[in-house]
Amino acid sequence: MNMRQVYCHVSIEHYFLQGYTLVFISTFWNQTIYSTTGSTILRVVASDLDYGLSGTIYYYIGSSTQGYFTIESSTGIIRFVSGVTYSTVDATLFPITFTVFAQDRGTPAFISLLNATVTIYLAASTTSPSVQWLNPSTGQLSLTISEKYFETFASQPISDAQNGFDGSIAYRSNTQSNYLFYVYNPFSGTNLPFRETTLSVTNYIFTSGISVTRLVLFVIFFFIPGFFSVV
Amino acid sequence: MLGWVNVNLRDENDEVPRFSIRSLDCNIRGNLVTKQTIGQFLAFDRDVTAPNNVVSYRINEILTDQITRSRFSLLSDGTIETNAIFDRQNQSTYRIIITASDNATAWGSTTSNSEDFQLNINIVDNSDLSPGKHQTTNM
Repeated sequence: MNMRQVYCHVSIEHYFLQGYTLVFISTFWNQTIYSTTGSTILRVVASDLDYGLSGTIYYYIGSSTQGYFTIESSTGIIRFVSGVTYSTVDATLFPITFTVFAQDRGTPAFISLLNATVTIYLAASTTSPSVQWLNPSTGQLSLTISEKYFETFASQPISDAQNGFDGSIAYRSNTQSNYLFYVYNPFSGTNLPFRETTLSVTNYIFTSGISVTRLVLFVIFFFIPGFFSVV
Repeated sequence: MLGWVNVNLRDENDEVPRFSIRSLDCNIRGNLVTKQTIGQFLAFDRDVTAPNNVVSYRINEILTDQITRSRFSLLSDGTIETNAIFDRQNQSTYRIIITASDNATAWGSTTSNSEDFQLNINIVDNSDLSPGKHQTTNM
């Protein structure tokens, strides 16, 4: 029996809807600046809970009377205003508090439900941070790896020779306390396919790395809990 | 103390072009002198970047016989057209195998990724009409 068939081609286009739940991962952010503090003072992070990615979020400092700090809109990194350094600030003005807003670039743009309050403390010139990055010295990395990294290298620490990263992340502690190194993802709703490698310690220098557990791309954070002190 | 890493992934050619259906029967009328468009048969490659996700189509020369290849044309966008006047008494069925390939060497292999689609053509008489037209709807 001859079957009769008709072929129908259906094309469906998917449009992203605007997210409406833009929040900071923490409401209060504190940082102490030391005489050794580099160009990056602090990074604030907001997340769009609908997507779990922050790629389209922009950050702004609310109106404030301080003139020392500026925020990089696309990353949330807070830095000294050009020309300002630890040595040139007026210590009597500290601690300095200001507000940061997050906004997405959708239409219409949505502003964070809760703002972030940032407080910057000034340490005495004779003190140094109790814990400091050694490698990378800025605590920031940008790496490119094949999406098949895990299939090729299993759980080896990620390295990226082209970007000058040998895979080892190191930090120094000035105190007797041990500081734990771990990899974490502040964005809810996303799965982090990375984990820290085993931590080794030699003379207050801690060394670890990041390995891939499976594949995919996200911005990730590695976090060391410590305290800042005001002297 | 917080640090951060941006990990960028380089796309590898680890996805294969996939047809959503793997075979189809079509009836076409014989004795028509004009070139007919039979349909457009698309495969989709889930890789992110070109050339890993670019799909090329060809009539599979090993699985499709010479006569069939001479009587049908495949355009680069996956459209099959007739290239002859069909006579049911001369030949009433044709089988076309379309191969979709991506445009780069597959990850972990020396060849590119490909998938086949089978199109069975029945030649019907003018009085023996099939039920419907081809329709496209955008959603």
